Amino acid sequence: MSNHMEISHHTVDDVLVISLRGRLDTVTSPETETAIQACIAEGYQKIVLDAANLAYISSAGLRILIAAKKRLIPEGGDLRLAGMIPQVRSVFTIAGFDRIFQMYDTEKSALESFS
Amino acid sequence: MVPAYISTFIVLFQMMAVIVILAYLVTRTRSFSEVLSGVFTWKNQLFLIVFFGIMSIYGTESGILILGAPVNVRDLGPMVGGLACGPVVGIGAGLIGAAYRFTLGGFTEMACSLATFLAGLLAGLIYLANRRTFVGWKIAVVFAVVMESLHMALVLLLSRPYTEAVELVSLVAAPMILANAAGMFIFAVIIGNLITERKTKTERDMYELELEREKAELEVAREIQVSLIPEILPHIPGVELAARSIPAKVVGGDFYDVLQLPDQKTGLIIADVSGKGMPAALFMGLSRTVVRANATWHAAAADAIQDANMMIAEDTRSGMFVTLFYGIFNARTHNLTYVNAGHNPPLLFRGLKQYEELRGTGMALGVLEDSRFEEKTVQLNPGDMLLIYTDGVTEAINAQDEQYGIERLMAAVQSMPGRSATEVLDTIIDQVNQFSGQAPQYDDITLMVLRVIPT
Repeated sequence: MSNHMEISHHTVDDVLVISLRGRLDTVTSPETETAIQACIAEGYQKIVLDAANLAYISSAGLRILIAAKKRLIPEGGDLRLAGMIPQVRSVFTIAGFDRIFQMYDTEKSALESFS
Repeated sequence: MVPAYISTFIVLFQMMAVIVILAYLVTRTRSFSEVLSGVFTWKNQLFLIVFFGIMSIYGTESGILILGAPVNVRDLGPMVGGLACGPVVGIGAGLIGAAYRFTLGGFTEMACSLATFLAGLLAGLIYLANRRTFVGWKIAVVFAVVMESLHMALVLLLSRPYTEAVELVSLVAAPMILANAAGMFIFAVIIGNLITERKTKTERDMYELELEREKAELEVAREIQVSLIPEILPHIPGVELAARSIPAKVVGGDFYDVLQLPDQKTGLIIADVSGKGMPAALFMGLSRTVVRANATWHAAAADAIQDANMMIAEDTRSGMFVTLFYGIFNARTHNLTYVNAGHNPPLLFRGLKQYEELRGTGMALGVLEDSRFEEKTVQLNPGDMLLIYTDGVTEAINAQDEQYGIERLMAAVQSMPGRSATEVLDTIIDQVNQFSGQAPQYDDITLMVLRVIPT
């Protein structure tokens, strides 16, 4: 198992872009959740999740993204998704989460949606 | 005859050896151990006062003449006592050492006694300033150097005649400072080692305790999960029904349930809670009860799930959700009315060549309180087989990191025409196990097979 998640981030104006590289599953979700929640705790409210290099997502992964979104919405922020490969996108679709997450093909269009 | 500097060196070496032994002995005592853990009793403090007091007396008595001047480590005991065990021990030991020195008289008796008392007092204050912990060897050695310099200053200040005081200090200052600093270094390193050892041991104990706790938690989670899954499935006329759930090592939150409803109807539920271990087990327990109650209450599948979702969503934190398939099978008409709340689509095999996916009719439960759910109805014909499963089946991985996948699942079903529901279930589980081989099972595997007996 490639039990490792590479997490990096950068900011574009007031939007934080978090890039994930790896598999977001039971093994990698806890560390990823800690990283994302730490960003929110720092005060970032608008977050784009750059999922272009996300190879796989399990229900554990979905859970941490929902947790992040649930925390951001009341603060007037949001977590939006960019660049998912079809296999990953279909996991969202099956669970019905395409109706709560805004998804964009590119990081650029996700960033524009915040402005 | 051995040269003088060599015999001096030997005496100094012996002094250091005694200090090493004393340091070793005292750090192994229960009193020292207790004080290090922050437990102060009059008994352990009295013991340490006496110990470091005697050490101070030894420091006086073992003093040697270097270049004709007396060099001693009298202040060492009170300094170590104060730095490692606090002001009470420091002052107590200092008073003993000072009193003993005072009885010896001499023109420096006042300055030397005062210095020994101050050594214990100041060391104790440093202990307090460092939030009641030992300062470590660097600061301890610096303190010893400063303290012995102060000792020399006191001699110059208080001892008369002044010219003799100056002469004495100029002779002994350097060796005194050096001897006490070296003694302090030995003591501090041994105490430092002890503290590190204890810390490592505490951490190891904590880690083992944590492992134990996690293991116990997993056991309980597994028991909760197993206890909530029906042992015996109701008999439905004209239909075979088989179901099984195999929990992963780190238990997920899969469950299935079969409800007998009025009018020859049977409720089929299969669900997958996001998360692992105890939180998932508890959330599963909640979800199962809520869904069961609402399924019994509402005749319409969509109403049942809508209300269940509302109750579960009110209760969720940390983004937990549950994907669920709820089907109501009518044994009279062979209709299946279902709601798919974000669950991976069950497969309905029509004969063996054709199949339908019973796709989602709403979002996973527990995310939005006001989610809407549709219900759909399919007609099942004799020979048709419905395969409801959780993603633990298709996402089982082998050693090469490949997923079992839906294609293999389909192929497995299509390779056994005319088999009973139980046979199909057993074969799929066998195949998944064979596929995974030695790779660990990451997720619960849950399957339900419903087959309409061919006429």
